[in-house]
Amino acid sequence: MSISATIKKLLNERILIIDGAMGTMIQKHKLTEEDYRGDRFRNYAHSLKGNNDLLVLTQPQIILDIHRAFLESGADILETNTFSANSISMADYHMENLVWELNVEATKLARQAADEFTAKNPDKPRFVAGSIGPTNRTASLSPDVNNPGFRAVNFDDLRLAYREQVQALIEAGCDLLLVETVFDTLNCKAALFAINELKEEMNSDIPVMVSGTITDNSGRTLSGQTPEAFWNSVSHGDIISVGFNCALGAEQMRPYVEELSRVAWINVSCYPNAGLPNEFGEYDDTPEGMAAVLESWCKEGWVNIVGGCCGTTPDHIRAIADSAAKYKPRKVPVLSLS
Amino acid sequence: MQKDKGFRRRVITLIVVVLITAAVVAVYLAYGVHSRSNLPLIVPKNARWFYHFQSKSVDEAARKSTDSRPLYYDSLYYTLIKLPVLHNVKDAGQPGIYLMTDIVLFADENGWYAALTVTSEEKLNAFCRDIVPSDLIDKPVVKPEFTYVKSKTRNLYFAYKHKACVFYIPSDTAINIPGAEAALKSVFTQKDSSIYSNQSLQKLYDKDCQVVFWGEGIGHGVALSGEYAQYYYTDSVRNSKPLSPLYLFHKVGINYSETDVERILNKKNQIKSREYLNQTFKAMYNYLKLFVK
Repeated sequence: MSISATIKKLLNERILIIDGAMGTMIQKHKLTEEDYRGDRFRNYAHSLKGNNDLLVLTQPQIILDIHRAFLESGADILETNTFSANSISMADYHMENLVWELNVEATKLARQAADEFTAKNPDKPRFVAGSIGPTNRTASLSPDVNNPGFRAVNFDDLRLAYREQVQALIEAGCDLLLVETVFDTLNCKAALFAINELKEEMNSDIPVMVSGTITDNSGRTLSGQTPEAFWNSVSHGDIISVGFNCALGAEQMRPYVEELSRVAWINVSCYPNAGLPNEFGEYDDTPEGMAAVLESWCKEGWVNIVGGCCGTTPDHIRAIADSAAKYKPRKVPVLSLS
Repeated sequence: MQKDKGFRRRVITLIVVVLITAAVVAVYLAYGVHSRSNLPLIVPKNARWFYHFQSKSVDEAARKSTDSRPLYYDSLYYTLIKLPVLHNVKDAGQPGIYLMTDIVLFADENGWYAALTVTSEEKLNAFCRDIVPSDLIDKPVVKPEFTYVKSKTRNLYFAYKHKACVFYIPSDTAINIPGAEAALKSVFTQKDSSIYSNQSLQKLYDKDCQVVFWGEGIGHGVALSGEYAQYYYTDSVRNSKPLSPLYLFHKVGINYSETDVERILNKKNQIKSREYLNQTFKAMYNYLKLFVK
């Protein structure tokens, strides 16, 4: 059975668990500028601290250990450490030439960890999802308050940037692609366009997940869409799941997950933050508290994939996995032609 | 339609040849060896097309403008040294090839070739016999005019004699050892005249072009010594109406968005020499990266 078919089969059988926050886990290491640089970029002309995606080249052991910790806690799906590994985001560090290498090396690390755990227990196969972030620019909003017509990036720029990233992720052996933290649906559409182009060119059937971000209690994405509008905008994209992640804690995200569950005719995913950040920028939701909220969603039959975003640790994922294991996945509605 | 396919195939094959050549240049990138050769003399006058990258003078030109190397230099270097064929190479002299001399690519009716200069036939024998992993190439075959090895995984031959070595990909995809040997013999047999005797091509060298391309009767050269890459053409019509500097890069697979074009070219449609090199390295990297997983 192909990986794609295996994933689809498993999604019918149980709620799959996606891993937790890579950034939070990296922060625990309190890495310095020198750590980020490693040997290869020791003399690099620009500051590199904060370029977490670069760590797959300069501190691969840290990333590998984080992957292993999330697998140990029960994650079925590992995200590659490639959230910003696209030429648009990497331009901030003058490292757009590294996009391919970052995505390939990140996939190799996640692949290594996932394969280790699958070999230990073939009954619980682990999967690698290529993380595709929104970039640091928005195609449908102006960053210049004095010039509403200005756009810092256009659809074609995004399409080309995503093509480069996605091709590397597929070539390197990802099982899934995850277009996540979508705050601007037009950015997401550029990613889906690039993915569909490449799937055809590369004769790939790699499944694609999309996860949007409700930015605040307005219940809308940054580009102004409600959950239903967001779903309607991406439903054409040949995707296996749609959902939400980041920005909100589990409690705040409840109504939006419910709404999405009501309207989407594919699998629904959700991996919220561990609450809202406190005054120190830290996340306070405990593993038990967060798992209890997500368990209520599982009980309601709203979700097929759950996990954690910012602030979530392996302990959070373990608690969520234990809770989700008690319930059947959401039954995906079959569309009627009448 | 058929013509398009043929063109695409030709371009792809050209790129394959470029990347094989670039693989060997890896060691230059690692160790900074410098030299120069008269390598283009190996190219027969009836070559269908010819590409000459004068690595040493390109590198000198690049260093003139800035201390730092183009962005894709780093990526190319780290990709090249990961190639399986170079895994056992410990120092620049080991393969017996001048790795930062000229790179010469050409095609004739038999196939496509990439040529580099040999420094030591003895070392090259040892490289092919003992250093390249045995799952990559067959044992060397010694012929009166040249010695060659065949790739185990591709229809690719590597032949050498005296001061020149050549990577050869037959245009016919079927494996035909006698045919390949005959083609290589024609390259390594002394010629009455080489592509150098082409007068219009000579004019490009007279303009100090570090990169020269010639094909189907039309050629162009790129001089990189100044701030901006200077393009020269062998025909006056093209000189008055030059192609976009990004045209050939696009033809070998680099996609440019409108924003990229605005960033790379100035309002006079010029490209900086350093950026020209950056795009050249990017083109090589784009194909080589597929060989490293």
